[in-house]
Amino acid sequence: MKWKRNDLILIIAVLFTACVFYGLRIFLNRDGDGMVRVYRDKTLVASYSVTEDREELLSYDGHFNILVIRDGAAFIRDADCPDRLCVNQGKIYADGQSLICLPHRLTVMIQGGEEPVLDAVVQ
Amino acid sequence: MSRLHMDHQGKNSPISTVAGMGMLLAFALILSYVESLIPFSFGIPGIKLGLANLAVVVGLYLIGTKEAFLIDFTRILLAGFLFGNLYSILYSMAGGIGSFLVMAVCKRSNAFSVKGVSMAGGVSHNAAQLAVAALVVETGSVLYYFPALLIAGLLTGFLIGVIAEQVERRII
Repeated sequence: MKWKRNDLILIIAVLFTACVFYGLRIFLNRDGDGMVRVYRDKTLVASYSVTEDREELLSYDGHFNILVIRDGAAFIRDADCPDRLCVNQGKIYADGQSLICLPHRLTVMIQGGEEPVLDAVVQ
Repeated sequence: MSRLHMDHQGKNSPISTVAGMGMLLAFALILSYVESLIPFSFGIPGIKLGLANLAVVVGLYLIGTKEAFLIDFTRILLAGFLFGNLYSILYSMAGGIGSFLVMAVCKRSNAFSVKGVSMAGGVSHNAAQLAVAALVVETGSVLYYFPALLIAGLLTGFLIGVIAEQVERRII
């Protein structure tokens, strides 16, 4: 196998660029923790860090949803909406996931943070 | 100067150049087909072995730059219609043309071995595809994959380069 000196320079340069971008990614992710955003009628009403454990009572026109953030995940623990679909939606933790309570016009979304997990990739 | 097909006077014949291009194009399509059969996944979307690039690298060394470009362009179009869809043609075109330009410049500069040219091609192929992906989905978050794709391009380019080197040595 023949090698030229420039081949090695190329390899080192590419590896170096990859390392720089990898480092940049880690650096940018440090303060880019996921946020739990609460929307009512599509307007943002509250925003919490996904890493801080908390419990919030979200009231709406005499009704309520109880939002719990624990161990980096968010879920609705209880609500007095008729279908309780929001409670049954379970925990969200990855970027773009959402909890929706239509009767109370409520949307809880994760923005940033963990990469969404793909179920499958179809070609 | 074609080294692949010379007539008995040692000159290029246009007919043998065309025949050589046709053979390499067929070779590239077979490689594309083989690649579409292998369920090859690194867990990162977009990483492919790029086997068909072997035909392009061989063409670059054995026939010529213009001819290799034609082989590259045609095989992307044909393989796209055979095994992919319009989007995969778009991505392949960006990767194919981007990597071809880089490889042609690297080859002409005489600064790299076959492996070096092929590695530069692999890396630029992935970089160009990622750039198109970033434009299509309109987010910079695909840049997340950039380091992995760089290294993947280096590895696949190296493998293709090793094979192309052997082919080049034996075919003359």
